[in-house]
Amino acid sequence: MKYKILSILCVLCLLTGCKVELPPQSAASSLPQTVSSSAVSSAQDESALSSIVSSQGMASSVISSSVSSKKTDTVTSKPTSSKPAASQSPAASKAAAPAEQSKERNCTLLISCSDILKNKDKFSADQLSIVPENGLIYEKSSIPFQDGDTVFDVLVRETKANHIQMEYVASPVYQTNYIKGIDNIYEKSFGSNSGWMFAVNGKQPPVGSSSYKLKSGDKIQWLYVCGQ
Amino acid sequence: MTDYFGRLHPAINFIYFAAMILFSMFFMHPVFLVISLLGGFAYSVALNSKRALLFSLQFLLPVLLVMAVVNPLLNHAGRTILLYINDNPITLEACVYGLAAAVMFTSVLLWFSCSNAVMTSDKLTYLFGRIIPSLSLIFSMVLRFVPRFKAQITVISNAQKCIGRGVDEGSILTRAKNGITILSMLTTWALENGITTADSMRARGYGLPGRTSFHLYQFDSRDKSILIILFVLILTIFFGFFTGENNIRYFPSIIIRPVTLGSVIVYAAYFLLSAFPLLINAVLEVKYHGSF
Repeated sequence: MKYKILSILCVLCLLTGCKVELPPQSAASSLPQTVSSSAVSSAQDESALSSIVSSQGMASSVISSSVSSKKTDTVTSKPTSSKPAASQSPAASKAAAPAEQSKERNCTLLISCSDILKNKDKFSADQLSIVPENGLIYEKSSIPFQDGDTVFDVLVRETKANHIQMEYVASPVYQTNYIKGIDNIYEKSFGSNSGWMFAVNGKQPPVGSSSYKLKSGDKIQWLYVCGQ
Repeated sequence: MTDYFGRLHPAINFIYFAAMILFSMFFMHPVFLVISLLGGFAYSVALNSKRALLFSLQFLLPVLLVMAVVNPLLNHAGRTILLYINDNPITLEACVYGLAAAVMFTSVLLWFSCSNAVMTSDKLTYLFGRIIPSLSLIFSMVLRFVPRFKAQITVISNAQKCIGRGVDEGSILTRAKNGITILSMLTTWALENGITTADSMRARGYGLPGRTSFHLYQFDSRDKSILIILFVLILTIFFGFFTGENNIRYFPSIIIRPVTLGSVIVYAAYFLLSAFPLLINAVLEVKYHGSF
């Protein structure tokens, strides 16, 4: 009976085309919390973004990686700055292009949950025990990526290489992957509207993380937002 | 072995099973889980030996294994990553939690099967007949509902088979027709039976104030001493519960309290509680017959 069930599970895994792999063993040298020297500047970026987030009134709604079609409408229609920003970012990368034309494609990644620490008094010590002290889960600059890689691909690769837990679910309706939790900090565990959101170069793209194709020099930020 | 525990006063049986089922439901600490599982299994085998064993092996063991395997596939929380399936981590914590939840589920089922065998409907009616008459009657009827239906459907289908209208003769259409006839008979019987029961209970003055019912239960000195022991055990476990001896955190990393003298006392109390019926049986067997 036991073996029957196990073999059925294995066959199911194969049929659904699951990709099974072991976590990397050699990555122990690079610590999970690598805080680089640019921590101060990125913290500023982050606070700038969170102010953008709160000014747009986005923090009240739970949209992290999966941007629902309804919310996409609000993003594209409501803030007038959103459209120029989208057209602005290729221009910015074009301006930066001559400088690093021959170099390979790089991006920076920041995973932070400092919004929890800002609202520290709302949560119990038990809840806060899983949050890192400075709210920074991971930060790395100059991550090489290949043409066509998305924000989601980079997140998966970096979390896997650094032994950071990350869970996602595919949401086929929006053709993207929704990030439920990073480093065991899950959606809805710090307030009913809390969850992970992502931003590229300080702006929230109106698409999901697995639909956003990266350009060289992009700054990816994954921020945990507590909402109201 | 005679089940002396089932012959004790119904109140003791009820308190015992209520406490045991609640404790096994809410204590997720591995020591408590294992004790409860072993106690439930041992007592259910002692109560109805062969059937309980078959039930455990054919139904409970596969359920336990499936639950333990499925949880880590759906739940990806936890610090210790074992492997990745489709980029989602399979974690040690989720595996352990799945196993713990499966053991909890199985032990609760085992305890329910025990309480079903011991808490017969006459005991329930005796205990609650005066406080909540209609509810206790309905409860005892509901408990007997499925077994009685099963018995009655066998009787009906055997009778139909005798006159050549069984469900295993003729074409598919005839068989279906016969099956529907049998079901209709069963439903008619059930409705009529319900009305008859209600009328009969009313005729006997069930639930009227001042009415006493016949019973053989006496709360004697034996029951008294056993109840005191039971209360001491339950209070010790409650004490352990309030001091957090059964606390365990599964996510994101497993944190268990270190084992101290106090926790060993609580574990011992829980062990005695889950082995209580078997211990009572053994002690009384020795007392009445001198040996096993």
